[in-house]
Amino acid sequence: MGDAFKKLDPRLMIRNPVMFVTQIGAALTTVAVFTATTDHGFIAQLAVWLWFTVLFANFAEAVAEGRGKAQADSLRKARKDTMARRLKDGREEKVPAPELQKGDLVVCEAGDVIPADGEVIEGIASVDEAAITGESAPVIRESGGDRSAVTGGTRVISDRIVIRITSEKGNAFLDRMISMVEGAKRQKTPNEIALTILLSAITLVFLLVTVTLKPFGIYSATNFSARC
Amino acid sequence: MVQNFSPYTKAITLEGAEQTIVQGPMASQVAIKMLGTNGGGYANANAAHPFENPTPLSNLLQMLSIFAIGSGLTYYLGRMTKNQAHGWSVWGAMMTLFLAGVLVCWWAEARGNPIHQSLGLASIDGNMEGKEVRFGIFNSALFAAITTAASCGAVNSMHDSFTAVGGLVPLFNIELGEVVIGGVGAGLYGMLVFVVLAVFIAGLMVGRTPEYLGKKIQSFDVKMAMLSLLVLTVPILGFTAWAAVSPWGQAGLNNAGPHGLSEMLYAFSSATGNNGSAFAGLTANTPWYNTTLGLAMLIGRFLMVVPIMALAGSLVQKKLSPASVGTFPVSGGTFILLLIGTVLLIGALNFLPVLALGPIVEHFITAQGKLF
Repeated sequence: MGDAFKKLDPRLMIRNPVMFVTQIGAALTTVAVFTATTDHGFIAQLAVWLWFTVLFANFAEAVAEGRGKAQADSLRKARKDTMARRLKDGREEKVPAPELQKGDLVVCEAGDVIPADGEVIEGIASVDEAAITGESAPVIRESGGDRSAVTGGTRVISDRIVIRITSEKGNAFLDRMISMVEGAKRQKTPNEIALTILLSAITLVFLLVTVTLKPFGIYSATNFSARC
Repeated sequence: MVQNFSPYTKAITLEGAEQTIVQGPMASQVAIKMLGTNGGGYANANAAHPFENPTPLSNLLQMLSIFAIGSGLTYYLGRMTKNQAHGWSVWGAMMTLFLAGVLVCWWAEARGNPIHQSLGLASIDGNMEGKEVRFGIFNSALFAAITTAASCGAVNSMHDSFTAVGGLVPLFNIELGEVVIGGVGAGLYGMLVFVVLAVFIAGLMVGRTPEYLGKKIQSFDVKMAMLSLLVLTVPILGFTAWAAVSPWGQAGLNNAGPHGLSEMLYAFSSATGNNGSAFAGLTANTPWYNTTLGLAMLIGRFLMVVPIMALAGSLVQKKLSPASVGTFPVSGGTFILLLIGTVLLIGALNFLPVLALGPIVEHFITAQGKLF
């Protein structure tokens, strides 16, 4: 919830033009509550509605971001806690997953979590890649052929494979996914850009419509207050 | 109809005054002006003049010619896009909007002027002020709706004398962007802008990449479409607002109060939409009005064509993606409703506030019996 208020910073809001205009309107209305001569109640109510709209939009965005962050944190934790069975000179030794180097050989059996991105060089196994792809049915990974790549974070369901690590520390698929989920600086999709243009143009037109109401009001010799 | 090259004859009326009877190559002029949706008449009274529009039959022929090319272009659209249903759907959307307008206008005029009726002065037909007796209520309302829907601008009755709601319909038709059939070409390209926007909004609503006739609609296309709509709105609202508060604007008014606002609004709407008809109560032949109306015409025609040509150019260059199951259909009832909705959304919402201060408030106030 605190994030929602933090996001009210104009430098952040300006990225979304429509909401930014709403925010300016809310600010101006708030000022008008104090400077207006009549109808304080109505103007105050307007200001409340506008601020509520802006805050709610920010709150929704903050919730989505928070969920993404939580996912990223859990993924990162899973990586740190994984123990890998490294093969060195024919002997197995248990090392934490982040310590694995490129070129290390790791053995994984049924029930093991694959510690890092790599290539199967011996054996065949069925792997549950739900953590990465969301697919609940396990897939076959075997040495040789085009199904030999495995991703860190997936779980071996059956049989035994030996993997050669091919990813640098910190540059694995999981790392990139975590940074993408964590970072709020994702690029806007083309459709999003187009929609923003549409909405901004409509906002511009409405601003014009509202601004020209004042001259029309002067002509009609009415004062635009709350009620007629 | 008159067709000669004689000079104007002078005649003495029954009361002894001298009247100049205009004549000339009217028939050829009328043919050109109606088919080309130009609307510039030979006589000042345009199609209300008995020589320019003598009988209901000639009235019918003129109305049909106004719509002829504009409607034909929707058929052409279907032919060219190899999707005849699309052309018919666009035509169907236009027709629905047009018929709605005609019915409202006819109802309003047939109801008549409430103040006349409360004074016991009303004619049986309704509001016959400014209308030709040989045409009556329905033909005048129909002609008014046709001419403003089609960007023609010929008139067979005085629009300034229509009731509030009766005058609202022609005004609204112009402000929709002259897309309800529209002028020769201008109506179709205006409607196509709305089609692009409608397809874009619909595509985003159902979660698909919006594409029209196999071409993806991207931000440049949306930018150009909205630019052309901005060009329509800005001169109308801007100039009318300026005129409403300045002495030169108010100097030309024929009626005070909301109807005066409607007069100014109609003048600038007609100029920007390149319609050409007018609430002729406004004395628009002053230097200020001539300049601003001229500017509005220039902006409304040429500045609107530029973004549309850019849109066309960008669509031409795109790669054609084949139709798939997920393609949004550009024909059929859903599309017609969507198109009408988009036209009303962009048109109505822009002008509703100023219309509320003009014709709509006039309607309610005259219903209460107040005068200005």
